[in-house]
Amino acid sequence: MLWTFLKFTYVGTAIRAIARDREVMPLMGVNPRRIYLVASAIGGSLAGLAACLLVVQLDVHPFIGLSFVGRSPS
Amino acid sequence: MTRIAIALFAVLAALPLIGLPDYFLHLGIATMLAGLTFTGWALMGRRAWSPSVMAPSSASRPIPWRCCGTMPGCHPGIGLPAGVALGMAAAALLAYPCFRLRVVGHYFALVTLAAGEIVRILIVALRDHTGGSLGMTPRLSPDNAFAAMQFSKHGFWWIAVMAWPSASWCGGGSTAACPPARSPRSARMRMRRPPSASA
Repeated sequence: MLWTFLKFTYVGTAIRAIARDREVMPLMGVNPRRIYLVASAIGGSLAGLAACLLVVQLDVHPFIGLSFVGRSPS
Repeated sequence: MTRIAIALFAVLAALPLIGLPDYFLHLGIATMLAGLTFTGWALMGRRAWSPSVMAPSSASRPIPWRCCGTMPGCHPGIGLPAGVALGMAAAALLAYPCFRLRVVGHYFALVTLAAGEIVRILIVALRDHTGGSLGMTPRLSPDNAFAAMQFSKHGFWWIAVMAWPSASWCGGGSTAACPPARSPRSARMRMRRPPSASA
C-alpha cells in the first residue's frame, strides 16, 4: 500500500521528487511544507505500527525508549 | 536489484521452516520491528529533510498504543489501526507547527526528543492509568488467542517479514539505491511551462 501511494499518487511522487531535489520542487508548484507534513505523518504511522507489534514482544515501561533513541543516528 | 530483493524476501519468509530455534526467531523479529521503527525515521529524515528521533522514541512509547488493546472489550484488530492512526496524528501534530515556524533539520530533532520526554513524564505521572515507572502488564481482553495476537514465533516472524522489508523497500530502499537526479522530469512531475522570453 505504501509502494502504491509513493508510486502512483501525486503526493507520493512529490515526496520522491522533493527528496531528490529540494530546491527545485517549489518551482514546480509543490508545497514543500505539505509534503514534509505528509512524510512526517507516514513516518509516525510506521513508528506506531512498530510500537503496536513491539508491545507483544517486549516489556512495556516508560524507559523503553532509551534503547531505541541511543541507536538512532541523530 | 528487484530480483535480489524478492529473493531475499523469499529466503526470510522461508527461514522458520528450516527449524530455527525460537530464540533466533525472536532476535530476528525484534531486529525487523526495530528496523520498521527506523524506516519511519529514515522516511522523515530523507524525504522530509528533517532528522528526527521521534520516530524511534515514539515507537518505544507504546503505552498509549497498548492502552487501545487492553481497554475492556477492545479488540487488537481495532487497537492496531488505532495505534497507527495515533502515531500518524502525533507526528503530524508535532511536525505542522515546526515546519510553519521553519524549525527544521537538527532543531526539529531536538523538538521531537523533547516531545518524547514530555510523554514519558506524563506516563509516569498518570500512574493510575499507565502503571507509572513499573510499566504495564498486557491484559488479553479477547478469549481467542489468535485474536489477541498470541501467535507462535513462526506467525510473528511472518508478520515482521511482511511489515519491515516491504516498508523499507517501498519507502527507503527504492530511492536510496537510485542516484540523485537533478531534473524533476525524472520523477515524472508535471512541470509548468516557463513564460516565453518575448512576453
